[in-house]
Amino acid sequence: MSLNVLIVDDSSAIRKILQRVLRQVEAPISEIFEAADGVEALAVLESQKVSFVLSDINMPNMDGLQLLSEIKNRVEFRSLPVVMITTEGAQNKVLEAVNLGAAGYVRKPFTPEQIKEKLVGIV
Amino acid sequence: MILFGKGFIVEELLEKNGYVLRVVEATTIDTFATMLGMEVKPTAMTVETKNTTSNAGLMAVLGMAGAVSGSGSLCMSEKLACRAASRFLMSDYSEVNDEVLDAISELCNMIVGGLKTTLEEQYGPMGLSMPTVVYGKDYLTRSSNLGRRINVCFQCTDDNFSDEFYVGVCLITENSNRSYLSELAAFHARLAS
Repeated sequence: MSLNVLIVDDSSAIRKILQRVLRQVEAPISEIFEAADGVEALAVLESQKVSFVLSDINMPNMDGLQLLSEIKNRVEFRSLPVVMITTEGAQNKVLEAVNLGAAGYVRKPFTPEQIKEKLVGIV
Repeated sequence: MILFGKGFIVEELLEKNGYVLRVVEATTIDTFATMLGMEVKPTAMTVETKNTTSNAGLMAVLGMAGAVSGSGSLCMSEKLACRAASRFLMSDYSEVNDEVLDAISELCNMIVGGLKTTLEEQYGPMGLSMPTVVYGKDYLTRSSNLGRRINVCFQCTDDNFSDEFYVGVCLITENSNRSYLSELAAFHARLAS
């Protein structure tokens, strides 16, 4: 089984860090896609086979919670695990993400181990 | 070398505004340690006595709006920015480029995001703007006339490298329209005393 991951973050720095972390995870990851906001992410999901999504919340055009809502409202994507990785630590945002169906939540700043732990749990 | 402007060190500031400033200290120390593996120590606080501050290097700024409004900023020299970005992205950067600018704006996002989360617990919901990063020499910044910026200064030491940077906050509480002006006046009085 090979996994394709989609990283959604408007910061190229964070996308680069997550790429490195994912390459270190002992999981059969074959492709890593990137998107800078929710709109780009949906375009990737419509054209590529993605196994799970790592998404920021605060992004232009379409934020991470809107993206999560879109994913969970569409039958073809509904079972896709989405882990939120964000500076948003407010209880209401965490609850909103959980209620919308997020598979996990990691707060920035994060260690590579925290990301690996979440991914291993999902994989 | 960062120019801290025409500020003055206020020893009692920590006591009077300790809540916010301690959060700034803690989130900055945590962000540098977790994301960069760099140890930073708070050294001083300065308050803007006038609305303009001279700067050299990079300044990343994020706006906050809601129960507490204002901005948070991270200001550092080019040298430190390259060093921090090299640690952050695990690549070598000897000069400022788009990746360095993005790394510093993301660090600012993490620090101000941590501050926002803590303030929300006490004051209520707030929103964060997208980060903006300014890079250049001999430029001026101006905080809102409604508030004054407090700069928390840090010393960063990494092997043989050492430099200073600061995190600035300019905040105004706004619990209700009726109390807004009186709170604003009280806020200024606290800063001025």
